[in-house]
Amino acid sequence: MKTLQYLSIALVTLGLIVAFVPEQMVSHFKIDKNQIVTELKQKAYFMNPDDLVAMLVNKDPLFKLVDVRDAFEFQNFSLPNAINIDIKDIVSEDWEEFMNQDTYTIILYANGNLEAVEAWILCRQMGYENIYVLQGGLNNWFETIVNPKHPLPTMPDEDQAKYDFRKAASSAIGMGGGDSSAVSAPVQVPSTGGSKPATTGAKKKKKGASGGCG
Amino acid sequence: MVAPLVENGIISGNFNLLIALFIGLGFGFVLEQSGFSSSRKLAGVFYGYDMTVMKVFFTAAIVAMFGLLFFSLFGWIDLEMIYVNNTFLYSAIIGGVLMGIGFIMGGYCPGTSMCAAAIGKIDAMVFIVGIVIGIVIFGIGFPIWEKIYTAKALGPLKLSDLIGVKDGVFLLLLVVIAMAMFYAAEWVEKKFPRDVY
Amino acid sequence: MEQNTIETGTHKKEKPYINPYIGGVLLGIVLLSAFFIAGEGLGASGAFKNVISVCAAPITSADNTTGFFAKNYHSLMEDSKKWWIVLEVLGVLIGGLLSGAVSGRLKLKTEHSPKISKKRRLIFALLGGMFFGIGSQFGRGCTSGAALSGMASFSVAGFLTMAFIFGTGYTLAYFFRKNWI
Repeated sequence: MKTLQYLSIALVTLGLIVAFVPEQMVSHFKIDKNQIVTELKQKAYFMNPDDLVAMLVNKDPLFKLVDVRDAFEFQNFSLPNAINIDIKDIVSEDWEEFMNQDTYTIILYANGNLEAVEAWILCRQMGYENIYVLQGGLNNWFETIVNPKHPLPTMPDEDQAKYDFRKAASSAIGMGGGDSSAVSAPVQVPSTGGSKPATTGAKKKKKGASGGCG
Repeated sequence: MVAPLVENGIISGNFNLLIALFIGLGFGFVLEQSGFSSSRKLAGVFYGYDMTVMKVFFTAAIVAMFGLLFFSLFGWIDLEMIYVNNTFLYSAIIGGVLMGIGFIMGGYCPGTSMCAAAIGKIDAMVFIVGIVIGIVIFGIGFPIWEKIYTAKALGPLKLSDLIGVKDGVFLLLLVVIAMAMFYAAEWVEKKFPRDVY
Repeated sequence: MEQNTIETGTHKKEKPYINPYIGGVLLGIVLLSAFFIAGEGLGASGAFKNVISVCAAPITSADNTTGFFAKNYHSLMEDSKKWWIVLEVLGVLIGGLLSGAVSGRLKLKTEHSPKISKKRRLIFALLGGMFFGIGSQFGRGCTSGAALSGMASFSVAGFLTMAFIFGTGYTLAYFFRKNWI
């Protein structure tokens, strides 16, 4: 009986501790901050607009676009099928189920890079994976995809190919077919430094152990 | 974010298998030391003369749960990576009923039968033969019950989530219930004593 | 009476079993270390299933990938982690042996209530094992794997299976009482 008494006291005490400890601490572990710094430096989390438009054209089902600007700007213009989640809500409990998963890729965008990267850092700290930022945001999107610069005749063939692709793609997804006249500056090619994110499916979040007896 | 050690690459696959052996060793040793190598002691939980099964079972589960939560609190383990077994509603219930029958008839479960067989209990060895036959029967007849086996797949559902409480609160509730059961068990044992068995 | 002291007659006295609560704490620690190291809990019936799948492979898995044993066999061959439980159960065997050895409990015998015959006990042991074999497959685990480890990971299946194992046992206890008391 004595053992039981000691055990009871110990267990009830411990139980009271875990029950009243704030949720944050007992919940799943957040990502190490050094890793985030490394990822920020590598800039592999950028997705260039060409890749995005390819996914849109191919009707790739495994990605979601998230517009992190405020509702007013979202109403004004948004990318096809984008969802509007304000930065302040993006790591809230309400959106956790949507954001914290490993089935589809999530692409954050804003007018430029700044707000989307801010949102990305927040998400990454929560340990969410498969989150990318549309490089250059909507501004870059318009400049490269919607209104691609007509390449000069002296430009290499691939620039012409890129141009044709962008024109076709942007009309395929129903966005203007603007055409800024050829300028003396070379065609603006978004940097593809670093590895391209997968277009279909998402890099699998390390799945926990699979096991069990049966 | 240290553990699970294997998932985070701290321990290699083959070393993990070696560790499995040692963990099993600890498991078997503790089981036998607690008396689980005796079918009459095990069956005692159903008749009140020996409630060891209940005491060991629930104490072990609770201690492990505390361990998981505290380790997570200290950042030593990533709870998301712990295997939570999938709930297949019908299959889990049917399995439980059949195993209950097997337990009251045989007085062992697979783990304890291994322990008992190790110390020479012939009834345990026969039990093991029975297990093998049972599994073979299940495998051969699988097409017949495959549908029920995979029905109502609810995924890796946690009871704390189902009820809607935090893991910590759930554990506290479980502790309270377990305490009640333990004290009741002590009382029952005094009420239905048996001599040496 | 928590402790069990039996005089075996001819030679050394058997050591008593340990206090069940202490045993529970120790078992909990073992279980915790399994989670800590391998991310999964303990188990037993899975090892039987795996060994059977491998032994029966020539018959069941030759040109088959969808059968119960065949599927298991193929996943075993592909992923070495699946062998974890087999090694663990092997460890259980050795651990039990060691414990029995240091406690003076090694003895070849059929344990049964003095009120029934050895034969009857063995028949029930066989039948019980069969039920457990089938049940452990439906339950995707046994008391160690599905129930104990399941409960420790807060799983609904764990609590559910455990509830039905013990519930059924208690319900039927009356009908089998002659075997035990």
